[in-house]
Amino acid sequence: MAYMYAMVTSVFILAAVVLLSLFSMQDVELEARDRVTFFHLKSSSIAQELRQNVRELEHIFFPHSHAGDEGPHAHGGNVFTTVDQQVLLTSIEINVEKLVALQEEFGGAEFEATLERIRDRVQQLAPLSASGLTDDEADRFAGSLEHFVMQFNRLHIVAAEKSLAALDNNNARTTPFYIALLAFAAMTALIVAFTMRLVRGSIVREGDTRRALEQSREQLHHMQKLDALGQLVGGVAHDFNNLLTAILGQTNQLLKSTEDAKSRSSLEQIHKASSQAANLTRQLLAFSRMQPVETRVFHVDELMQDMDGMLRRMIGEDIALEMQLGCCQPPVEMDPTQLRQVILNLASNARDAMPRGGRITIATGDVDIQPGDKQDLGAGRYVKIVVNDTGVGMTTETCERVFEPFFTTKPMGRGTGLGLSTVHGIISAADGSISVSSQLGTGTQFTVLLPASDKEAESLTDKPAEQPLATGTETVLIVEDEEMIRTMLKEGLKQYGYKVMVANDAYEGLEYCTGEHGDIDVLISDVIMPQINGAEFLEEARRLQPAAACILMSGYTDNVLEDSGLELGKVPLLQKPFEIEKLARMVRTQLDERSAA
Amino acid sequence: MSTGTQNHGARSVVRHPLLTLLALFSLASCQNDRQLAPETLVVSVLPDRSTDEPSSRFDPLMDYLEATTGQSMQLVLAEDYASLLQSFINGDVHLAFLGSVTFVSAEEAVNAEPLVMRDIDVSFRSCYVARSDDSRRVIDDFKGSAFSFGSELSTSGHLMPRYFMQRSGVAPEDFFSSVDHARTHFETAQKVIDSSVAIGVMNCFILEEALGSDRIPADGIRVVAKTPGYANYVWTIQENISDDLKKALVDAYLALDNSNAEHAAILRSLRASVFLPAGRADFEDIRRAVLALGDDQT
Repeated sequence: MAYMYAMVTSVFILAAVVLLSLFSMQDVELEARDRVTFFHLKSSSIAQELRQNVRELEHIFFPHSHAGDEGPHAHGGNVFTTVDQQVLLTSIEINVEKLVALQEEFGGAEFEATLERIRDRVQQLAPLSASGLTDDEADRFAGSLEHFVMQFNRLHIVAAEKSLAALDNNNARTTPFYIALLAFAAMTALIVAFTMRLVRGSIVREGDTRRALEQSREQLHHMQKLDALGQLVGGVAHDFNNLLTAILGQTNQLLKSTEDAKSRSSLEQIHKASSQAANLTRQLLAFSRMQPVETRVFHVDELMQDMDGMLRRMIGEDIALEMQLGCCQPPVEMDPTQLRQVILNLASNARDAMPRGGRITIATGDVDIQPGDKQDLGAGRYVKIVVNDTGVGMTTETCERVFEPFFTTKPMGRGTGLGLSTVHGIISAADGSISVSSQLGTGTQFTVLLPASDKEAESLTDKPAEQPLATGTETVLIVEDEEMIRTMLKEGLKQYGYKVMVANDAYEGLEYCTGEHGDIDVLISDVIMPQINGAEFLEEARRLQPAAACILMSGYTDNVLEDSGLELGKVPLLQKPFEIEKLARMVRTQLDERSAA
Repeated sequence: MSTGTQNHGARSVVRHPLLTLLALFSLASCQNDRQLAPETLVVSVLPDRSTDEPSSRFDPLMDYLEATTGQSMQLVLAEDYASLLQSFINGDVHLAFLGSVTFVSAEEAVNAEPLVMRDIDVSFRSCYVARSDDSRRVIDDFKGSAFSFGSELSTSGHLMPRYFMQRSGVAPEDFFSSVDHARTHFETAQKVIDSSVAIGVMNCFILEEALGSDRIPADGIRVVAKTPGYANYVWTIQENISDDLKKALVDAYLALDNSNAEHAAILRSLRASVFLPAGRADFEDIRRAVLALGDDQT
């Protein structure tokens, strides 16, 4: 469009220049016309006067040849004095001189010959008039002089006509030339504008395509990096969870059997550290999206109200917390624990950004996203959570990197750099989005969008039913490839009264199921095992022991459960690391449910 | 013949502005054509109307022009106006003595240029004649009377008188009781004399020349009125002849002086007392007449 404007402007400027030059040409032409008109009119006028002189001449110099005429000076007879003759002769000479001067000033070769003939005649006039001429001679002399003057006069008339016609001609030729030039320029400008637009358009399109390609390449590269990192982190976390499960289990065993206060204190420290380590692995799993999730449909506001006390304790007294909860927004469907993790993370970041105190505002609401509004979100209704602080704010550069794993602005040892990337992982896993906007010195705002659910919301505060007794005497088979855990679980469950058999892989487990060792009441299997995984084992084992209840344990789920034929809803999953009491209670629950069925 | 305008070439350019560029670009190459200097200048004239007169009355002029300009010349006699015009248009003839209507045709066709005219041709007139004994003084008195033009193809006997009447708002066929055409100017005079018509119009120059002769008795007819002046014969030259030659020819014609005996003989043979320069503007009335009355008049 800018090119079009530029071209139109150029054409206008060109038009102005052409018009201006046409006007100046017209001026020049008018001047030329004036000059032509002046020269020829003046010459003609003098020639006319001269012709009149010549007519008078015939009466004054040769009166006898015009005796019968009634001319202005014919007074009959030779009444004219030599003074009269002299005056007329002078008049003729002056007029001829005037003509000569005019020709010299303006040029005009076509008049020279005639003017010369007139001058010749006039020069002969005085001597001729003195010598007596015959009537016939006098008549011829005067006649030819008059003819020459007539010729001279007409020469001017014709020349004037020719000059003016030439000017017309020139004008008629140059005006359309300028118009054609203008039209040509306009056409050229339009063609150039059109071509430039095409070329520019294709360049822009090519540039856009290249940029988009580079961007998606970068994104792909980034995703691949994150994926590899996720795999690594997930794998490490899995092994780590197994270790922690063993450490926690053994610590619990020792705590139960040790009375020595000093030893108990040390064991409690080990238990605490292990619990913190377990939290860290949960974060790692959440980041790598391998954390087993307990999806529920709930109202965000309910969760916020529930967290209010905890948040206030966490952020401290220097910072004010304001909850601006919307009303009536639809529920969301995700793991509430994960959302808690998100809110806690955002709130703790906000707190850290306000070392001298300030205000954190958490607002909720809902919003409709139209198709194309946000690239990473589909159209539909979303629940919005905005966490705002009045902290130091971030630079644009920091904003851009804030969700990157291991990126942190906190001092060494203060942050893991996993917080916001974990938050991002959680929100993305829930098909939502998180964005940040910040201004240095003013504060930062995180906006979380979560897809609204059309299912009916459950209450988060529903307390689980009365805890059943964890003890029992039934037979339990544990399949676990990690020896530490296997041993810990065996010892743990034995303490609750159960008869426990252990197998270190699925094959061994299936041998126990054949019936040689009697009926098995509960099958507990790790999910991730070499060769045959937990889900496949359970499938086979159930054929042999159809009455057995099933429990799966896992550090992370990967896709093993989804790919198996098991109905996931019916097999409870116990997330590692866990305390033995939790397993014992789950075993009891499953056994009771089986009996009820 | 469409407009008969003197700016023939210029108008074409105006009508075809898109060709202007091309025309301008090719102007340089046209320059050579525009300045033709033929080895022998071909001059053509019509044989005199009175066939008994020898056409060689132009010979002294030819000799004089050749001697004055140094240009070799060849005189060619044309059969009639149509063939003369055609030869001129074809470019076979360079210089021609044309009637004004023929000149306008040549101008329209090849932008022929008027060179010089005899003094009598600059402001030629047609005369309305009636019997000397007719007491009516002005043309208006002849309303309802019988009228005769000269030949239908005659400029002075028909075209121009009709044109000037039309310009004055007079339609001859309505004004007069009858409108007749004579074959020659003498016949027009004769018809008036023998009262076949009350009034006729004829070439003033022929009338003046013949008045008092056997053909037109001095006391037979008198002039009632004259038309305004108009251009009659003109020496016409091809536009592409070189300017130098044109100027030399004009100078030669204009130098003919009655006070010189030799010149006087030439002028006399051409029935001229002096030659005057001719311009396109001299033919404006002729163009208008041709335009108004059609182009079949010559």
